[in-house]
Amino acid sequence: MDLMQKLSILGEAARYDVSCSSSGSVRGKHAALGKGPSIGNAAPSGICHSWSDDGRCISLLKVLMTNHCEYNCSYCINRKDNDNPKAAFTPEELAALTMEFYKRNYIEGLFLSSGVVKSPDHTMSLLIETLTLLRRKYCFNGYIHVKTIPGASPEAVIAIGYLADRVSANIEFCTDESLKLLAPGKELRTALSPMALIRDRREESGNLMMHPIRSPRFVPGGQSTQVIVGATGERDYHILSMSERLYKNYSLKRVYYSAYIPVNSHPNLPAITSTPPILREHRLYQADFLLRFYRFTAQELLDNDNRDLDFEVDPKCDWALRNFEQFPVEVNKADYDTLLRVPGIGTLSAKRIVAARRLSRLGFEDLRKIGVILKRAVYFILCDGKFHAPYDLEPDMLRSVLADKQGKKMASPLQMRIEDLDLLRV
Amino acid sequence: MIYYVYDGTFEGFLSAVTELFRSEREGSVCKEEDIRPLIPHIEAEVIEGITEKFGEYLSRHFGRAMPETIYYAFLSELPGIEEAIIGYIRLARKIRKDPIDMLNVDCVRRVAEAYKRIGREKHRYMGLLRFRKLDFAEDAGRGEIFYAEFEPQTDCLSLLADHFSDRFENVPFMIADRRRNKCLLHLTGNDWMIREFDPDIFNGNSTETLYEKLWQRYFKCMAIPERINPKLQSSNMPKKYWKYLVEEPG
Repeated sequence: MDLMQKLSILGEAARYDVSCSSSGSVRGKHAALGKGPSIGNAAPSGICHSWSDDGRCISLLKVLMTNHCEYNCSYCINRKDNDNPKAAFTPEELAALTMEFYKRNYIEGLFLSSGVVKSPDHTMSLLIETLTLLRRKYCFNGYIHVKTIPGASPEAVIAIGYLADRVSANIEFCTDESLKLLAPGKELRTALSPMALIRDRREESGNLMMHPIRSPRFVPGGQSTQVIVGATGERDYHILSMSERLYKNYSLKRVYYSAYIPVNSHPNLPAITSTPPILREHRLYQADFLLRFYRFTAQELLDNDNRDLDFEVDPKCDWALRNFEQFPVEVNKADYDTLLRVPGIGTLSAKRIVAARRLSRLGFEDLRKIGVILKRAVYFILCDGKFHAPYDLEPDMLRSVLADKQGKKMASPLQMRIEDLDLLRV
Repeated sequence: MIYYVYDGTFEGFLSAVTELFRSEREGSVCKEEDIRPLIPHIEAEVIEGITEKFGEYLSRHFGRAMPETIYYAFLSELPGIEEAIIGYIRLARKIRKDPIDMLNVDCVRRVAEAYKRIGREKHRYMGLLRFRKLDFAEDAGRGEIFYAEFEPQTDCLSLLADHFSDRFENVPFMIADRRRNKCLLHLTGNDWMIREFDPDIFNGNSTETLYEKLWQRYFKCMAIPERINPKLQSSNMPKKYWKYLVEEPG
């Protein structure tokens, strides 16, 4: 089989993994592991290199080592019983290809994952070999993201953590019941225990970093995971609570949400003809941003009586309409955290308001000038005591005014990389 | 009202601004090519070492970010940006600090927008430039070089130099701005230079297609058929960037 065929098969098999981030890692020259002159670096902001025809960003060469697999998870395109064409890279082949793509600036690095061949640790050894070639033989100092193999030994996870920038273990489903139905042989524990291992080792090596200058870095880009949405009966409340727990207890950098795309027929799964729940995925990303950057808790957004995110309006808007007595807020007085809770005001706008109002009191026109988008915010703010909305509405009416137009704003925040950067900059 | 005319370079611009401020007259600065006949003007001479001197002055009085803000804004080539930069510096001198947060003042907002715009374009091209390996032969011998070309809207070529020189420290490369006919040349180490571009130097020397074909195929494989979304694709990667890509979007 030639390289072209392998690349098609193993690229296609990897495309359902949504993470494409290449951000959060800094690799200075001193981080290079090879003896020769190194090539590559990692930009803390992350860099997108292209956008595929589905609009998702391509940053890393995302491929599987092999799509042969011992497991038979019913949601997965690469399960054992599927008779799709199978292929495998050799470590040398893949390392060389990565280098050639990198030198042409097609990619920011490698995202490597794999089906399970022979045993989890045997598979891990193939991944480790590939990374070792890249880091030592080719002196590659760019970004590498590796997905650990479920059931891999702690030693293998640690070994790969010293070669990669980011390591992820995919949770896939938030409850053991769902896993039992669809992924026999996997438990939540199989994903959570490597996460805990990586977290602890990162903290240790973080402390070590204070002393020896050249101490090897362990998973400098942090961990992420992925949850599949819409294949089983989990509600948004379960998913968001799980995300919150992962951010808090496991210091994860990102949780990715992947709208389930039916690739197999199975009695426990949505019909093969059903469409992926892209709007639901979008709402989960919005809620996820509220957890990470807007200081919301999952409990505030959803609870046992209110278990799914609203489709009509975004989660922050929904929260504001349910807590309408807290509005309107005066933009010249409200503190940063309160401004962040106003629908339509993001971290960038909130920071600009706080900076600009030090110099002069802000009227409505000033907000427009400093670039605050007022379409939604106008219903929730006062400028110098004045309310500027075209109508003064009760929450129910307001909800229909603020509803997203069908099909509009379907872009998933996952792809909004440049906006993402703006969030972090100022 | 008097105009100080400069040669189009950043040094020339700063020299003209310096002369304008020294004269304490009402006035502005303008590129040679933009000056209209019969408008009273003075040709500003380039002051040696002005970039360093001016930068030092700005960062000492108004903070370290200001020289970069002004350099980026100038390179954005937005119409009327000279005027906005002068207003921005005047305001800084008046309030004795960097006024970059005062976005409700017109000239500050225009500078901030220019800064953002060129920063965004630079960041986009960090990802979207595509290099091709080319062989060349000259008197000194044969060799290979990685070559990329683009037509940026802003003059962001020099802003890409450090990023690519650091990343491809030991790889010789050239990036050509085909709109402005100049190129960035890096041979080895962190050193680079900007030169006039001669489109004939690589005539007929394109060799390899293997990796381009692999990349094209990979690119098509990455799209999930159930999620095809051309609108999202072109909003993330506007069509003006497609011309020099290897892959074939859409």
